[in-house]
Amino acid sequence: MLTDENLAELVKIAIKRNERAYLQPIDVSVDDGIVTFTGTVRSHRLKEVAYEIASLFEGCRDVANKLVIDPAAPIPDMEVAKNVVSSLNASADIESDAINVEVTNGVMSLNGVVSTQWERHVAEDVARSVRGVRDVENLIVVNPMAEIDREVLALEIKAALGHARDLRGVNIEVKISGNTVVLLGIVYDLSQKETAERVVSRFGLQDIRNEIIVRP
Amino acid sequence: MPTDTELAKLIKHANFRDEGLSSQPIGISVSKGIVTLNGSVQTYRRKLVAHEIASSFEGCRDVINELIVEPPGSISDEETANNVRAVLDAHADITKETIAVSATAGIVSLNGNVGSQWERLIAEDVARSARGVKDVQNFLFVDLPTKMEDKKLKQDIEAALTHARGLKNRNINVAVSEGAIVLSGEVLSLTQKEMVERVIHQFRFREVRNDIVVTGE
Repeated sequence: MLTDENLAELVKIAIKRNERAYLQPIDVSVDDGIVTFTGTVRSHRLKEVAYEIASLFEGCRDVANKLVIDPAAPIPDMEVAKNVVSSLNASADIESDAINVEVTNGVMSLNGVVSTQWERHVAEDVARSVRGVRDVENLIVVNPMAEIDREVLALEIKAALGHARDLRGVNIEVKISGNTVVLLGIVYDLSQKETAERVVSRFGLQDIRNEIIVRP
Repeated sequence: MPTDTELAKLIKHANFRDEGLSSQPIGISVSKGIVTLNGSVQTYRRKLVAHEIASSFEGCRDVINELIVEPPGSISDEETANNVRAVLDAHADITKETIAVSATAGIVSLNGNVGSQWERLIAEDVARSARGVKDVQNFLFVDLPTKMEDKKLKQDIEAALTHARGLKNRNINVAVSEGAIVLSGEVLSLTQKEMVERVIHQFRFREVRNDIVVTGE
């Protein structure tokens, strides 16, 4: 297993070598196998790329991604809003034309009503990918909000986790409060934490709080 | 470990349970842990979700995704091309106006030069998610600022694989020819196969073919 110093060094080299050169001004620190990124990147995708790079390494228990998105050249809020609207309109998965967009200093709020959580998530995803967007506040409401039986749903999620790959013999606790599902427990590899989240994401809840701890 | 029939049933149930897939006519067949999806879905994102669901189950060795994207309603090619244009132009990771877009019967062609393989793949991904698009032909050419050395690339990839999470003692062969990578060998799980692919995508290359076989544990 790598020491924290070695892991930090490897992550730094991998970032430097990466073809997406815009990753450059990133600070990397590692404590007890948890990689923390600070600094700025140009886009949301690049922030995800940083996560992916760190998570590749043996010895990386988890990633604290504190990167801030700072577009290279500032773009007027009006233009950002226009780009988000045209992207939403052009996206195959957005059926609603009732999503309102407001931008203040690059921070976007999405408002409106859609019919599924899926559409709500896609809208946020599309908005985050747009040039000039620093952050997204997703205030979209899903309607009709079908009344869900939280206990039944928790059991269903539990059952699904039981069939998930790489999660054999791992005990993950599922708690649902409001529209948020909270995952708790201890796993021995970051892939397991990722898999648990992927499984849960298909159950149509608004937010997932993944508090699973990775301990090799 | 579930049998093929059980796995097919589990996937079917999960698809039914999914908001975006419950009404889509997806066929599932499983043979020795290899899941084949066929039929059609309304959007590309749904195709990806179907793939993810199938691959998330224990016992799934690999997924062959033959789903066809069949957009609902009728959208003219002009409108489809405009939609692709709109999402590309607004995207933070695409250099504006370097990509030419055309559409014929819902099939979109992307032409032009881009600066990296990453941008090439994002452009394709973004185009696929636009309204009216059935399929994308990606003719984008990667303009590499420096000449690639196959030998160096192979060495770098091999070094990276030795540090990769969960790949200890796996025998993976890396062949590189003019920037095109071919991966072969055997791994125990789909997670390992995906991990290899994630490692590769950190590098600068022209294309990659992943022929790694998942043997199962």
